[in-house]
Amino acid sequence: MNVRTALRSLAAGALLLAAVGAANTRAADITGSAGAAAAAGATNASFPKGHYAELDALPDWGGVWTRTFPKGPRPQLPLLKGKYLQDFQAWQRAVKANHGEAPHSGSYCRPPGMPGIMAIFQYPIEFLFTPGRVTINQEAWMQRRVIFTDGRPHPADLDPTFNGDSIGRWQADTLVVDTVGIKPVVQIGPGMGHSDQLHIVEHIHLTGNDPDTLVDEMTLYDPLALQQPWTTTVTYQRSRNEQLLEFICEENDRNSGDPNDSGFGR
Amino acid sequence: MMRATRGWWAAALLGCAGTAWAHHSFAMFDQTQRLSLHGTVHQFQWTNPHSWIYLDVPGSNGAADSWQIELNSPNNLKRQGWQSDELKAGDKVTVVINPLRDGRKGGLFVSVTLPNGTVVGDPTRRGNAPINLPSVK
Repeated sequence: MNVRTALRSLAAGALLLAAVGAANTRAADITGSAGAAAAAGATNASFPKGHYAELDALPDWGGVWTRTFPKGPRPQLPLLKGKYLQDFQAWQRAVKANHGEAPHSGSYCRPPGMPGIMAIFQYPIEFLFTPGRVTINQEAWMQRRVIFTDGRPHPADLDPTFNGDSIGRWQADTLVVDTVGIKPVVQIGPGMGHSDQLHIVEHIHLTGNDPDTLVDEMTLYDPLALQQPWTTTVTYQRSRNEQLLEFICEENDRNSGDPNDSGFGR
Repeated sequence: MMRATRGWWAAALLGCAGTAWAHHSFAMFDQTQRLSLHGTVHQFQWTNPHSWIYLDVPGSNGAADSWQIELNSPNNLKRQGWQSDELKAGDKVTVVINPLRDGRKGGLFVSVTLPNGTVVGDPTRRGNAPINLPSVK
C-alpha cells in the first residue's frame, strides 16, 4: 500500500468515525450549516462568513494552558514492533553509550510535530475558536496547529506534514480530533518512529471537577509500528492572566545538527 | 513558574521522557559536578532557544578566561522572575555551573550570586537530580 492509498483509506475510516460520532452528538455541534452544506455537496465549506455567535455555545477554554507533571507510576510506553522496535532499541543503546546524548540529525530548532506538540512541558498552549476551526498555538517554536471543525474530510491527496491533517467535531463539551498524514521524521516518543499509517484520535475536554484543568486523551493507532493502540493522557493547568511569549529559535541556534557540536565556543 | 517536585519525571524537565520533547539533551554537561566561577559578566544573551552568560574569570596566569554558561530560555526565565537586564556587562558575580564533559570552559547554569548578594537559582532543579536527559531503562 503506498502512502496515498493508505491515507485515503485512513481518511475514509475517519469519515466513518465522524459520521458515527455525529449521530451520537447531543449538543454544541458547531459544524452547523457549513457542515450541512458540505455534506450536500452544495458549496465549499471553507471559512464561512458569520457564525461567530455560535462560538458562545462552546466550553470556556480561555487563557493559556501549561502541561502539568504526571503523578503516580510511570506510564506504559508505546509497544513497538518490527523494525520500529529494532530502531528504538538501537537508539537506546546509542543513548546509554553516550551519557544520555541522543543521536540526532538536523537542527534542534525543528519542532516535534504530532503528538509532541501537545505534550511539551514548561511552554503553554492556547486555543482560539473561530467559525469552522480550532487553532492551537504552542509557545515553544511558535507552533500553530489547525483543527478543522467545519465537517470537511481529510484530503484524499494529503502530503505528510509535522502536525498532520486534523479534523474535529464537538461531542458535547469534548473536542474529538482525528489526525493523519504525519511525516516519517516525526517521532511519537524519543527514539520512536512510526509508519505512514499512524492515526491519532484525541478527546480534549475540561475535567469535571476542576474548571482549570484540561486533558487531552490521545490514542495512537499504527498497525505497522505498534503492537496495540497506545493511549496516553496529557493534563494542562489554566492560567487566565498569562499570555504566550515570543520564541524565535533561530535567534541563537547553536545546534548545527552535528552530534559532536555542543554549541559552545562560538 | 515551573517547580520540580518528586517523581520519575524529574528527569523529564525540559523534556525527554515519555512523550516530552526538548530542543536538545543536556548530556554534554557532567551534572554530577559543580564548579563555582567568580568573575565579571562580559555579556548576557537574552535569546532563544537558550540564554547565555559570557563570564570573564581570572586565570592562573593573570589573564581572564572566557567561560560560556548556558541557561534556560528567556520564556522560562521570565516566568521565574528574571528580566532581560538581570545581568549587565561589568557585573561582578559568582556563577555555579555543571561543567562540560569535554573540559572546555563552559557549562550548564545552576545558580548566580548577583552583585547585591541575592542568589538566584533554577527552580526547575531540585537537589542534584540531573535534568533533561533521555530516560533509558
